[in-house]
Amino acid sequence: MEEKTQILATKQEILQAIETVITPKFYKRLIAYSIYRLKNRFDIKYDTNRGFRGIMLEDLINDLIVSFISEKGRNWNKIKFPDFEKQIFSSLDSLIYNMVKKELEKTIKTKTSIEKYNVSVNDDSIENDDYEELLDICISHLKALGASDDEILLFEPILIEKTKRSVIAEEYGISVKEVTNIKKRLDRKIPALQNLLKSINYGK
Amino acid sequence: MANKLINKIDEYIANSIMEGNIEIIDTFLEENNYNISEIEKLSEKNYKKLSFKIKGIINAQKDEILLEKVANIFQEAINKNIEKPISFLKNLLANRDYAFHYRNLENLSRNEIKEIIKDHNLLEILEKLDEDEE
Repeated sequence: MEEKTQILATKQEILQAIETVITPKFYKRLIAYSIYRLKNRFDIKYDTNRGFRGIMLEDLINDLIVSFISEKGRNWNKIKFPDFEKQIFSSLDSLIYNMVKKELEKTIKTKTSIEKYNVSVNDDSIENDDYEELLDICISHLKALGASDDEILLFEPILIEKTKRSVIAEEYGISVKEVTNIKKRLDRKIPALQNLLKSINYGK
Repeated sequence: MANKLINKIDEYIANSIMEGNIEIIDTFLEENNYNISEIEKLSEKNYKKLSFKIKGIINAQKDEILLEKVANIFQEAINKNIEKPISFLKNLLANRDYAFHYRNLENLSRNEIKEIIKDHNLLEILEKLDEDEE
């Protein structure tokens, strides 16, 4: 028997999920995520006062949420996204992609820019593929950002290997709470690390 | 392999933002020269705007459901020739100047019934019909 690839939520289920999920804090996550995607995927610095070519992220987000409860609006695929939040982020990703594509294609000069922007870090053509060398660079950047030995020690297990906190705690003989605290301090340095890597032309 | 590491960092930040990791969200915003309190104000303001819009849509949908329900009761009453709801509907018709005023009730379409009752207090009508049924 073929496995089901989609189960669509009813309007009532979507309404309930919206009432539970949408909060000011969640809204902030949506704004931050959109700004991050614009910056990281398309190299676009979003202006909170003027928007991206006049398009405001808050309008994009509001229209997206409303479209889930409108007639013939968006669906929530419960198989692919059991968590409604994930469905929202996925739809937001497509909206951002389409918005940038449409806007960039309006200008002949930038007609092929979307392809250029799509060259993500998955692109195998990036010449420097020396993992160890880049890891060393990350570590020296983290040190420059004031990371402690503990933070540096946990950089690889947390970020690269995605090891669970409980496993790290057991492996390093520390408490889960200590791992959480180290992770929090490390997390505060990751966006700066990413910017530094970009500035030396790693990444894009 | 280097790409893998950069991808992992990218993925880590994106996932952390989605999961609501406040350390990552706030440092990412600060690191890129955004004012966190401005972003929070923007989020609060637009959350309220969105909630208001959603409530409006939900209320409109609830009204539509209620309208369907009351229209159903009247249509069933017409089909089964139940006296009280029919006379109730006749009263509503008598008080308003409808184009289909003089037509037989059995010829009324569902949309016409909805048109007759839509501007009335549907909850009151529903209560009245329930009382009559009892």
